This record gives sequence, structure tokens and C-alpha cells, in this order.
Amino acid sequence: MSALDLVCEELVRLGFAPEFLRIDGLGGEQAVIIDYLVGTGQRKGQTFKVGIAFQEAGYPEYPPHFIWVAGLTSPALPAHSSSQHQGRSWSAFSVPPSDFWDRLPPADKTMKTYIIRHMRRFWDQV
Amino acid sequence: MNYDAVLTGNVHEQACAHLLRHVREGYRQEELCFALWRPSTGATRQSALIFQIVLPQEGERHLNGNASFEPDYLTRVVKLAISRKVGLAFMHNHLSEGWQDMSNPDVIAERDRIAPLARVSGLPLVGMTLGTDGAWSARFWNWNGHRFIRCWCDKVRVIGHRLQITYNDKLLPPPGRRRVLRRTVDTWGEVRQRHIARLRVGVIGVGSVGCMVAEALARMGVGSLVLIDPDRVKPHNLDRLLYAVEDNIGEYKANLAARHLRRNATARAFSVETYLCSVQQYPAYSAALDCDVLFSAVDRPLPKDLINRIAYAHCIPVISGGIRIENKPSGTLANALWSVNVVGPQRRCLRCDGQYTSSDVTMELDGSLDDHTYTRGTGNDRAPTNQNVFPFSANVASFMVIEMARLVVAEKWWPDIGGKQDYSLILGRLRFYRGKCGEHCSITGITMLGDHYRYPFLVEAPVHLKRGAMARILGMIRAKCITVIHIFRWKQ
Repeated sequence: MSALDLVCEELVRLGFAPEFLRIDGLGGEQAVIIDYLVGTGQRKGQTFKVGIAFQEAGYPEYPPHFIWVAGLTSPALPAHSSSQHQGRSWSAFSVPPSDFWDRLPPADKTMKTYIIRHMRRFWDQV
Repeated sequence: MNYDAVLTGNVHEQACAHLLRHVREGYRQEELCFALWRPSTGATRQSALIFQIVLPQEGERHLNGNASFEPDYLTRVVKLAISRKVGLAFMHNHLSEGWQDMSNPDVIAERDRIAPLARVSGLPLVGMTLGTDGAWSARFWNWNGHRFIRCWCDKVRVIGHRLQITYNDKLLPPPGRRRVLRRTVDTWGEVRQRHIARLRVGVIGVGSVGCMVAEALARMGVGSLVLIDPDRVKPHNLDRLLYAVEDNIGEYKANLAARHLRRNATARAFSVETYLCSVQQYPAYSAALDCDVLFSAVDRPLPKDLINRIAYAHCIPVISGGIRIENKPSGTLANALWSVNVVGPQRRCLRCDGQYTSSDVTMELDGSLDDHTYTRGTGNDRAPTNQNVFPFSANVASFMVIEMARLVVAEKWWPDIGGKQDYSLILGRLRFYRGKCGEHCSITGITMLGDHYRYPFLVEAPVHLKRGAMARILGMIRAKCITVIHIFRWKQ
């Protein structure tokens, strides 16, 4: 199973409806886009289009790196790059889960862990 | 194709405990068992990674001076090998020391009884014999379409806290004593020097550290070197890169080093191969798998990650060195630290040692690792830095080569000093560490997987970087000719 299929399958299991997106120039070749309802931080209650960018091979051993968000700028966390796509302004944030991912048991290297443990704290930062 | 077999220290100990138990109790009794192996395939070498001993159960083998086994034992192990998609090895012991030849009954047992069934697994039978001194000998039984051909291994490696190698003197003859190596031989003796001379050593990254490592190895009498580096000499390298002068700017570092090493080497039959691409590109990756020891003098997370995984998946000890310079805001030196790690089964991996993370690898792949202006201040400022001075590199290189010498020349009674040492310039302090991998380290989980493990980021080298192919082919022909000459001399 490819990394893309695996990520999509895990996101579907979490109740998301992922779609594939490729945007050049956002630091990362491909991403899976989901509608994400922010549950924490300043933007609690808002829904954003969020892209999780990852390498074509290597997931889940090698975690996603960039998080793309449509229509978000944050003074607290500078964006790596930005781009227009599908009528939206996308910002790419470099937030790798490098502090914990390698220490996870193999069974826990999943989108569930990524979303619950990593995505939440990203929204706390921005 | 050359053949060899590899065991981890733990598997070796387990096999010795079973096969030599009667000998250790003072009886002249042979013993046998089966084992499982996975292939590790390099450019010119096929290795059998022996990863599990399958001991006989009650009534499955008989002892009467010699040892024999019941068909049920063989059937059980073949089924196990097929279910796990691995190969079958047959082990027995002899009552003498060193590399062992085969008796007629040995040949009949392996070729006619075991090899046909073992072949069902899709991999050839590997026959192994253990001497009373713990020295292994091994052979592959390859099917050529008509019959089983015995292909002797040229060595068997045991990777523990020492690197114990038994050589097949017929295929890899020991070099004669050379006057130029007199002081070296006087240091650790003829036997150890014969081991060093027949090692095939890879140096990945032939920059300031790697170049001095290669020079030390060539001077020590190592007979075969593989140099892997895609970089060319630049003006800012001239203050640290051994051999390099202004005329060399633009030349591949590996080619520059190889030219000087051929001149400086002390081995009778010295060969050096160069790969002008990254280790994650296929020709270089395959060449690395041909080596008995690898030196890692790279600072990028991606090659570091690959080399780290080679150490475990293919059971090749890696000696990794690195330098970290810390500057004050004024630009003056705050501290200089350099460390050396010996990595491989039963030791802590580079990732658990904190030298990189999987996210660093991802960042290198997507090109954002070097984007200092962005990464600074976000907690992701892990990009390699480049400050360095010649004597720092010389010190690290020296530590690294000493660690290889320790692996090869160490006696059983030498203490295991651990897998890591680091030096702080400001404190003038050298420290040794013995660490283990984290509880869930996925890298120790790939130990001995060999070809069954596929690194996801391997790439084919661009065509223009394969221009060393002809040189490599000529090098291989030259190496074969040297072997033939040695065999001719040995027979005389």
C-alpha cells in the first residue's frame, strides 16, 4: 500500500473525507487535504482546509512534515511559503513531529496519533 | 560473485553453546543443528545473515562420535524456512581449529540430503562448520540447473563487541610480511595484521574527516577501500582537506583521495574504488553492502539514516564520526565537541543517540533542511553546520580508525568500552558511553533483515555519475587477477 493510500485510509477511519492535492512550491510535493474543525487555541470552533504533506514513500516510519492551511496567517508561527490554489491562499508551516515520532511504538505511528498529539498543539501555537 | 556468512555475537554464542558443549566438557563428540538465514546482496557479494538457530528437539538427532539427524528435524526446519520466506543453514562442528574443509560424509549430507529440500525455500542451502576455537567456515550450495555446486565463502563474520572474522585462506590468501609494515605488525602482531589486510572497508563522505580516515587505513595496510562521495573540491575545503591544493578545485574528492591513496598504501595488493554519487544512489549503496566495515563521515540526515539502517539490516559495523562547533554571538569559539559512535547489532543506533530524527530526513528530502532563515526560532534548527578546523577533523578521524582497530585487534578479555565516545575541547574531557536503543526503536527491529528490508529513498544514479563503472570493472578484474596470483603463489 502506498503512503498516500495508507494516510487516506487512516484519515477515513478517523471520520475525515480526505482529498489529494499537489501544489508546487509549498515545500513538499503532495498533501492530503481535510476539513479540520479546530478544537483548541485562539481559533477554536473554526473549520479550516488543512493539508498534511508527506513523502511519496516512507510513511509511517517517516512522518509528515509541512502542514498546509488555507486562509491562515499567524504572527506566532511564520509560514515557510505560500501559494494560490483552487481560489484559496495556502500557507505551509514547517512543524515536524520530531520530538516524539521516533519514540512511538510502530503500531502508534498513525494519523490518529498525528492528529491528536501533534495537530492539536499546532493549533495551540497559531 | 563472492560469498560470505554473518552472525551476530548473540547468535554466535548460542550456536557455540550448542555445537561445542560436548567439546567443552572434554568429549570428542560432534554436534549439529539447523539455522535460518536471509540474503544480503551487494554489488559483488552475497552474504547469508544467520539470524536464528533452530535447535533439535528430543529424538531429532543422534550422537555417536559423529552426529546425524532424523528426516523429521529437516522437514520441520524446511517448513519453518518456507513459512518465513528465508533460507536454511545447516551447522555442525569439527574437532579441530580454524577454517574447516569438508569430509565426504559432510558433502553427501549437505549436497544430497539437505540441499534439495532447502532449495524449496527459494534460497540455497548454506553449510557451516564450527571449529573448536569458535572459527566458522561456510559454503553456499547453488543449483545450476543440473546439480548443486559448492561455492565456498571467502570469510565468515561475527559481529559482536568485536569483529571476529575467519578467512578462507584459499580464496583470500593472507598477505606476506612487508618491510614497510614492520612497525605496524610489531604493534599488534602478524595474525591481526592479516585480518586488517583482508578487510574491505568503505568510507562514506571523503571530506576532511573521511579523507584522513582513508589515509590512515591505507597506511595501516588495509587492502581494499571503497570511497563514496558526490562532492567536488571547493576553495573553502583547502584549509581542511588532506591532499587538496588549488589545482584540485573542481575535482571529485573521492578521485583525488584515491589517486593519493594508491601512492601511499602499504598493502601488497591495494585496491580502491570510487563512487561519485551519494550512498543512497544504487551503485554506491550496493558497493557499501560489499564492505566489512563502514566509516560514516557524513553530516546530512538522509545518508546518516541509510548508513544507520545498513548497520542493522545488513549487519555491517559502522563507525560514525561528527564534529559540532558552537560559536558565541560574537563569532568566537564557545565549544568544540566531536564524537565517535560504533553502530550495529547490540549497540545503540545513531537515531536513538540523538544524531538525527526521521523528521530531519523528511526535511532534507523536501529541501527545507537548509533554510536557516526560516527554521531558526521554530525549534527545527537542526541543519548541519560547517565550521571546522583541520586538527579537529584529524582528531575525529584518528578516534574513528582506532575504533576500527579495536574492533579487529581486540582480544576476548578486552573490556567493552561502549559504543560512543565524545571529546569536549573546552573541558579537555574524553567520555565513554554505553547506551541502548529506545524501547520502541524501529531500527533495531530491522536487524538482520538484509534484502528483505528496502530503504524507501534509494535512487538510481544519474547516467553521468556512472562514469566510474569502467574503472570499477577494471578494478574487479585486477582484484581477481591478484587473487589468482595469490592462489598460484599459495599452491607453489
